Amino acid sequence: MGATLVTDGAEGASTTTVHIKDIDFSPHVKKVARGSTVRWAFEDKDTPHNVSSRGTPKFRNSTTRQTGSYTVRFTKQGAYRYVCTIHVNMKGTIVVR
Amino acid sequence: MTDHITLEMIDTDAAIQEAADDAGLDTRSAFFRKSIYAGGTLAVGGLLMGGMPALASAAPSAAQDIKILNFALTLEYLEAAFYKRALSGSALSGPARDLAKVINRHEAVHVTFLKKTLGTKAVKSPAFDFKDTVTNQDKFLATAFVLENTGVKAYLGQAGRIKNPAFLGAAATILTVEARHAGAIAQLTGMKVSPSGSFDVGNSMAAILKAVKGTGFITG
Repeated sequence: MGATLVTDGAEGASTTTVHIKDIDFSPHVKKVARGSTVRWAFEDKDTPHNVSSRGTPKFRNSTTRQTGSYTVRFTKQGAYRYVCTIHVNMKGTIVVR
Repeated sequence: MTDHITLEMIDTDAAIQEAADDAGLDTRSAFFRKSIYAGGTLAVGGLLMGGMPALASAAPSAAQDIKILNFALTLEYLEAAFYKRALSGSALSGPARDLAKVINRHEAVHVTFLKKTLGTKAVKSPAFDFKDTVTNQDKFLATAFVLENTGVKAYLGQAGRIKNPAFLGAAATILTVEARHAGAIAQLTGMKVSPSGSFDVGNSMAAILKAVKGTGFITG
């Protein structure tokens, strides 16, 4: 049918990945539709990282880990800022439209 | 002024020397006493002094934080290059090679982290010549032991001088890993796991720079 999955009334909701590699988030800013799921992939071998919400709006923090992934579903609009608390240079934002 | 780094330059409390002596490593001890980096030397000379900002001596400030991070970056450049060069040849084997691979990864990541944190303010890597310390396993291990303990002393010496809590936290996470490296090398070689005993002793930036300057590893 080719219909787009619609979640919480947001057209274009999907799952998107933010890569964690070389002591950085990539991309730094990710725009997603409301209802989308963001997956952070820990791909920095034995270097530990975490995804920690900063400011408001907030979202649930990940644990510190070296492998695997972490997912959050964003159901409300806003710019969600986050950092890795271990590496001061690592900052990112999820913009939910 | 000596052309080579001596253990006394870095090891002002003689703890590392004592660890080597206690281990009964005559060759290694002599190596330490005469010139740790004999021939190759850690001669950080002009580059470290020239490439590095002036010594951080004032009260904690944002500008001083940058100087300290660049100081750390230069030491990490040195360590990362040291392990990479040693692993590029065939001198290392067995547990020494395995350990060097692990430490090499860590030091490379430390460089990446500090460069990204400093951004455009990051100093460039010096050129290095480690001579026979990367082609002889015994000399490699002896040098690695001193380098890692020097790293511990360098980070510890700056801990109270860092203004930004995030930078202090970052330095702490690296310091503990440098200490683990030193401990692992000590266990491999029979030296003391903690040369300073139950408390580590930091060294000033000036002392570390003097030590590095007095060696021949940095060539340009």
